[in-house]
Amino acid sequence: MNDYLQLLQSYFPYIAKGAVVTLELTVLALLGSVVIGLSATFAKMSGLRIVGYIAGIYIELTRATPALLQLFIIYFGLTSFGIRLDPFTAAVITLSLVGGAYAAEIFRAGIEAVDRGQFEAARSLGMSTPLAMRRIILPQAGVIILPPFTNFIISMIKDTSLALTISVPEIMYRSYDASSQSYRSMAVYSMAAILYLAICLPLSRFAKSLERRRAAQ
Amino acid sequence: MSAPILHLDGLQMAFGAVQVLRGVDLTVREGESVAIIGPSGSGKSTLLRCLNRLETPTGGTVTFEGKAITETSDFNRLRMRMGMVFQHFNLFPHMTALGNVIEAPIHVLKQRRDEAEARGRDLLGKVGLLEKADAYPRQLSGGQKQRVAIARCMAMNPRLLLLDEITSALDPELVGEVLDVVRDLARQGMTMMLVTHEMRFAREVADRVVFMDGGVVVEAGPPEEIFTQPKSPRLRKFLTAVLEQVG
Ligand SMILES: Nc1ncnc2c1ncn2[C@@H]1O[C@H](COP(=O)(O)OP(=O)(O)OP(=O)(O)O)[C@@H](O)[C@H]1O
Ligand SMILES: [Mg+2]
Repeated sequence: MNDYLQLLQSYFPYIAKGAVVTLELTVLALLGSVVIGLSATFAKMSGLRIVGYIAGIYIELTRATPALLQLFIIYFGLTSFGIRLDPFTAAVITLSLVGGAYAAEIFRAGIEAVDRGQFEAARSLGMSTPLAMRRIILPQAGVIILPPFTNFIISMIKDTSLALTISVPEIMYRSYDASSQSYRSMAVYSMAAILYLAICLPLSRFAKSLERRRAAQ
Repeated sequence: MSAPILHLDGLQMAFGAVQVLRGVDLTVREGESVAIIGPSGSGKSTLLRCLNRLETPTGGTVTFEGKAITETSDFNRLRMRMGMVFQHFNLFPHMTALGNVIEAPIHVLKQRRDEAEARGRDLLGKVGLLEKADAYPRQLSGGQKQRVAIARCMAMNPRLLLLDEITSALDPELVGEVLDVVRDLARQGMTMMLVTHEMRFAREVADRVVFMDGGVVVEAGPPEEIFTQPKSPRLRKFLTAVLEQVG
């Protein structure tokens, strides 16, 4: 026990610093996902064939290949074209692309779940499509989207651990590092687990309570 | 006779291979209220939806306020002038009653908020719901929701009002309060086309009744004629069936 406390003292601050990196990755990748996801959603709904088609291909390709593969293509693969990204940037770009495809599906499902009559009522009052979207559809879709989007945030937090493979110093990278220095894998990785749980559990509680509240309505 | 506001000439509508409207000819004059009756599936809703372009007609012409409506017309402008009230109200659930009423005046007509609110309260007062201005749709009864929906439409100052079975989703005891509002509008000279199953109401408020069946206008005329001296066998059969239902 004493021994564990000592380990905690020497490694926890180091690993906890990784949590900051994990959160930075998460926030930036989420922003990227939302921008890409919304663009893909609107591209698919735009009625412009080619634009919708491209968005469809993007969504299918990213969802049908492992995120790790995409990360390696962007970080290692692109160097063949002379594009050298630093690890953090490569991770943010990859996670945004992966997340964007998932976010697009969440957004589309949310928008489609809004009663069609809402759009018709808005149009029948003379609102343009963008105005009807902004004022009538999206606010209602937002409420529907909130629980699945919270779950999406949780998977994003966990997916940032992929960045370990290209040496971004987030939680997993640092605990791997600490474990190979100390030879105390169980102790070190349990610290990592505590950090992930501290971030993810409240979010998952929040998502569950949102779902319960919706079911009660 | 007053000037025609709306004129339909051979209006057709098909959903894929299904021909729903097979050439509807109809003229609506300023201040007139026209009731449209007919069996389920005869194309009454489709007709109204083709007028404000929620559906795109596949043939014929629609002339509104003297101008032909074509593919290149400004449909948003058209819809500002042609209000529609729906069977299921379609109130915006995330806005209060007043919020629903002022939404389009502020964002489409670009009215100032205080101006729109004053007018909105006035309109809610006219449908007897001033005290519900700050209530959300989920806090209102069906009849109250429908009255808010009518006020929301009127806030755009439409030239023509399209009403599609606006009482058929209501509990029987709530129908009266909504029909009262429509009756008032008719008295004030609002031009309207109302699809209805309420034959007694059609007889009372309509200046003209149009009987549709199979995607065409089978018979049209003043209510007394339509209800007491129906000419076509199809109308006679329809009226017999409807009156039996009422008992
Ligand atoms: N979006 C659509 N796609 C395919 N068919 C449709 C569509 N909308 C309506 N129809 C068909 O068109 C026909 C006429 O429908 P419409 O709703 O206009 O009838 P209605 O006279 O309003 O009937 P009701 O009294 O039941 O409301 C029906 O046979 C219906 O199935
Ligand atoms: Mg109908």
